[in-house]
Amino acid sequence: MKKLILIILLFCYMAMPVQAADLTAPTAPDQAQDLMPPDTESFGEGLLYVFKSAVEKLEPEIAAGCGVCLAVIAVVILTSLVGSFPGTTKNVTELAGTIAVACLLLGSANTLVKDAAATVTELSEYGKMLLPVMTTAMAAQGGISGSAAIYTGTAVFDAVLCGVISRLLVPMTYIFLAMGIASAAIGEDILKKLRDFMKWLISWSLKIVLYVFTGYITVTGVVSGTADQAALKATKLTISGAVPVVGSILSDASEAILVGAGVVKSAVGVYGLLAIAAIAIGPFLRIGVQYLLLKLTAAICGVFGSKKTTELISDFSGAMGLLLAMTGTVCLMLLISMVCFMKGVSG
Amino acid sequence: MDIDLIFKIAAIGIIISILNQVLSRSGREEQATMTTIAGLVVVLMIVAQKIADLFDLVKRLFNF
Amino acid sequence: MSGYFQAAGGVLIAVILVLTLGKDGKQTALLLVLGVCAMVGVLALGYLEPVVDFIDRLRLVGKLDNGMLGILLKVVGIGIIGEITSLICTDSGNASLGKALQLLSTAVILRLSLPLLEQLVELLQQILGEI
Repeated sequence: MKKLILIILLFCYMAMPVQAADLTAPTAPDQAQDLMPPDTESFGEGLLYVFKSAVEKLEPEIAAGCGVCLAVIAVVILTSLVGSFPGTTKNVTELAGTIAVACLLLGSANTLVKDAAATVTELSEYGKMLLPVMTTAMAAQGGISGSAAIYTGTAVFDAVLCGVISRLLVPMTYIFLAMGIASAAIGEDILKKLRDFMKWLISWSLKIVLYVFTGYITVTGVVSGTADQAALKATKLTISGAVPVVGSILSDASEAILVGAGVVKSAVGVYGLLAIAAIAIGPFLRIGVQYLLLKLTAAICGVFGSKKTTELISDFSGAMGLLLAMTGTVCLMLLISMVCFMKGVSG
Repeated sequence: MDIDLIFKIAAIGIIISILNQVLSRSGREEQATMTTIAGLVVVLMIVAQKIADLFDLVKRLFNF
Repeated sequence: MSGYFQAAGGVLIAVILVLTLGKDGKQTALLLVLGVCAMVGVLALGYLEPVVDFIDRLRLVGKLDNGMLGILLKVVGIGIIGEITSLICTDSGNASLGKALQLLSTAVILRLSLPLLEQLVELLQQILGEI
């Protein structure tokens, strides 16, 4: 009776890889499709292709960023001419300079904030399409409980993180910039403290979500992986022992099917990884370039400009850093879960 | 920079000061005042030219 | 650079001559200070001319709005003249005149900066509308 039940279970189990053979990764979104390599067999080569394609498209962004930074330097040079004078006229001249710098940088900062928010949404949407495919592929390979745990965790944390970013952290980035501008214009200590608090809160929120997610994945991955591994070994032994004559053949066949499911999972996984990289890399590089250029501008202006204006430029650079952190966190979360799926059932 | 002008202005100032004292002590107060005013006007005309040059340059350089 | 050393020397000579003129030549001393400040100012602005040309080049490369740079140039010009004049007034014992001129300079600078403030407010309104 027990052997009959096991045989029935075996047939059900063997039915699953047939579905796994039909699994394909969802196509990357239109903007990312331009960066995708024609051949997605090799992950390393594919990633290099994605990176090169993204860098080629970066030239106009670099030119525009350099232009804005040169204009900021021009403003700071001008306002530094009255820097040596005491009195109210110097303060008012610096105020005019601060307003001019804010006008120059706020436009491009707004564009990049919207870019980052759109990228986070796009990554989340793509993840919602990709994760079920990877879950099925991993389950087909025998990692049923593992795949369910990784999928549940990723889906929940992704939803929480994207909600927090779009509803809380993006508006807080704008508030951070506003505090920076007000602090540079008026110079009150309380505004500086509020600005620093905003920055700390955004960084802390992202870190907490990522730490908890990584911890969850680590724990469930170890536990589920071990459970799945044990279940698979037990099933194979039972098959070879329970079914006479063809038991060992059936056991080997199931091994081959599992290996096939693993190959499919890897192929889907590689495409998925490349698609995630293609979605994230463009905005990441654009924001990264602006971050570096603003850092350089702050360093140059620090030599001859006023402290307030230099701090304002550093604040805008800090905001770019926060955007990089937001985009990077969502991207990293998806990549970690993808790697966990692809690692699958080891042994 | 015209260093000679500085000495000229200073020289006129010293001369006016001396003449003022001499005329005041010899009882010619009005003449002393007139001399002072005349000297100041001369110096003012020289300095006003320099100030006008400065303002012209400021207007040209800072796009007024 | 010889111009700089001439100017430094001229300023030192002027300080000594102002002290020499003393109480009797107070008016002439003030005119002397005024004249030397004007000459040093002309020399300083002569050195600043290539700097302003460089800033104009940066504006062209950075595609900075000509209006914004024009406003900032005027603001800086008013700042320099206002501050020097105010300090001369204070030196001659007319601090109230100096403060009055500072007030006027501040008012003119704020008035000139209005288009910049309006541009900033428009940007903030646009961002708030999108949020």
